[in-house]
Amino acid sequence: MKRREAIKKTTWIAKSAIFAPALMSALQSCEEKLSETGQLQVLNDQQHVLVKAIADTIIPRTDTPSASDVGVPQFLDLLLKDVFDQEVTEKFLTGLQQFDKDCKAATGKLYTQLDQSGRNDYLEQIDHEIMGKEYEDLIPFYFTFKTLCVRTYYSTEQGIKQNLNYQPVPGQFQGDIELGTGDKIMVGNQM
Amino acid sequence: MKNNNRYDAIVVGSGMTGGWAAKEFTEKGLSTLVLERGRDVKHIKDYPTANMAPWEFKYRGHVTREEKEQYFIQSYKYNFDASSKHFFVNDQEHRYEYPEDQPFRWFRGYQTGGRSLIWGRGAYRFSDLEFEANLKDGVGTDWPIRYKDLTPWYDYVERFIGVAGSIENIWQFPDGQFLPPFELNHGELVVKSRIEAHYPDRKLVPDPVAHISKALPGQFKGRSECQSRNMCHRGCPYGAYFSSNSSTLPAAYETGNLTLQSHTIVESIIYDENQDKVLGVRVINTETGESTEYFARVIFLCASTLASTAILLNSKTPRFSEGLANSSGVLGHYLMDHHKNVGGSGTLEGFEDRVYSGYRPAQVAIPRFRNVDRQEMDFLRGYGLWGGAYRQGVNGNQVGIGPEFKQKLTSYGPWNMSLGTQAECLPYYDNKVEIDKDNRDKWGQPMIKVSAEFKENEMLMRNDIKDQIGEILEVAGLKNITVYQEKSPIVGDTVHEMGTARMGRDPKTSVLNGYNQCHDISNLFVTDGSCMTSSGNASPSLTYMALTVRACDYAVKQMKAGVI
Repeated sequence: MKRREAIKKTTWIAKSAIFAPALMSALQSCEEKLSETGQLQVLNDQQHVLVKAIADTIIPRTDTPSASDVGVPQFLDLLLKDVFDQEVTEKFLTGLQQFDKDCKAATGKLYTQLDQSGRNDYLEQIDHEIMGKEYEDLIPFYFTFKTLCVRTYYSTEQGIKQNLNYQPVPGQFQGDIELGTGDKIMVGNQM
Repeated sequence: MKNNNRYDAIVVGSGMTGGWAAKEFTEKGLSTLVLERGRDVKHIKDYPTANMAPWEFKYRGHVTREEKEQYFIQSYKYNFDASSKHFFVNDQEHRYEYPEDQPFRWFRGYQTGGRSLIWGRGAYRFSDLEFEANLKDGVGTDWPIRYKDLTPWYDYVERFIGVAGSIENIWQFPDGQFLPPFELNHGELVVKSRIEAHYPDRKLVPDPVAHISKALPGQFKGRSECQSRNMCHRGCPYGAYFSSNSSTLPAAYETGNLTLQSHTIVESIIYDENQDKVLGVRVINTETGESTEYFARVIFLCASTLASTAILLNSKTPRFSEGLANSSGVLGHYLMDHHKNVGGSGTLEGFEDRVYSGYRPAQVAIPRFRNVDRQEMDFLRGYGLWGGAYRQGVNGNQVGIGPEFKQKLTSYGPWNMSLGTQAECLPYYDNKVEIDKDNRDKWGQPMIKVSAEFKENEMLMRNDIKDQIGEILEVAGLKNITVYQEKSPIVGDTVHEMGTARMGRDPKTSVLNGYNQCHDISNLFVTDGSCMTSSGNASPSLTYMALTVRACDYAVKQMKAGVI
């Protein structure tokens, strides 16, 4: 019902702009809005709080750090500022705003106004609708957000070292070994 | 001054082939000058990112808008990123031309070692399937050599560079002097057994790659075994993969006979009509703009296909008004590259208790199986398939949030297998490189202009590749199979541009003879990719290296005999 409506309003972002080298184009530097904290350059305080709320609901603090503990929102801000084309940055910010609007329409509250269990419930619905699917050229805002969030978390020192089997120098390659129960994914320094 | 600038041999370029020419000449006692247009890069010392972790890069694996503007061609390459960009040219500074409707991608590394620092490391021998191809179907001119002519030189090169591979007895995919192969993983072993049980003509084998998989003490001077980090494009601090920087140039330096001069563009070659010989080269220092001349008894062009060809085109004399050593008129023509970007993948169910350790810097290969023993398809020549099976790693595209999801992200997912291709391109006269005297770069050199496209034969082949990849993945029992085919493949994308100063038997239709010696000028040789008469479908670097050492051996014998 409401959920369906939320999906309809999804902001779509070009997949190629996020996951592959983009075409060269004449780019203008995006207008920088300094947040009051003085740290973030594109996200304002309201957007920052929302990014943090979604990111930490996807990757909360457990016995290992949360998304915001390792600076995921700050890194997303850096991507918006220096990496994405202006159009993509705008779409991302629009998607963020739409996310909040849809949340209000569905729950009566802005996402950041929900308590943690409310955040979990609402995000679970969105997540179930959007993730685990293959998209062609355009990907929904939330898909972009979540995959970037995960990718960023696992490019940080704590994210990698505290969750995965970090082996920067594995030694001789072994092609066929047993995987034990509970064995973590082995990663090195590749990007 | 002239005496100070005199050497026995001048080698233009320090990459894949220039490094070999330097090693061979200096070891045979020739004073050798290597001219490199880029900056100097010393092994290990100048690999600033080799041991950096992702979090030590400001933008991690992302390429910024500014970098995309600066590197608007180079950033398309699969191994271009923050950790390797210093080994690629800045496209704003190093421009070239192509027609608007025929994009061409020219990936370059202007530094000591050139692209040998950032190559894909596949090390394949051409077989007589390649050397006889032009003669058999009549497209292009006949190669002046056969596999037996190159066999001892492949042996020689492989023993020095180190190639990990397996003995497979596939005649069109010849075995070499191999170190132990990189092992197949469990998923690949399963797929291999299913494919080989179904197709009598197809095998899935470890990809031969120029890596030291196993070394006896002292076997590879200053180099050690691969540590499976799979970060080769940053430069290897172990020297485990072959590059000029880690291997041939140190050997050449050790003789005391090598002079390597960086920041030096060769503008043209000095030719003496009376002696009918080349005397030396005119160069420009890229830092100071200063011009100088160097002289030698023999000159080897190893500057890469387009650059070497452009130097010849820019060296005009009354006798060679269309470019030096170009009495045939074919110089600049018959440009080839492999085509790729047809592929597929699928999920291999089960075997979730098996995994691998390390990040293998190599794929698996299915050697060419089309048009091998007879012409059987509606296209000429053929293609090989490359790919691999991997357990899915950290995957953000799955349903779930919160602690449970976070936990799930840390465990391996199912096996996925993917296949892609590298396919032969025929030699076409109108695929060409020219120089544009009306447009010059900041050193006053004419701009290089490339006009090239893939044609009907390549497009027909691509349809078959797509069908066969889909069929093979099904035979392998994979699920959720997807296949794709890039409809407008771009020449240059595979970084195997070659063929613009081709070898041949007839001086009227080729630039070089069977020893990479110019038909027209006996002391001028071209041994980089420009010498190629046909392209085959396998990565050509090993063949370039073998041709180079063979040409060096021949040139030195000719010099000793007083012929050159």
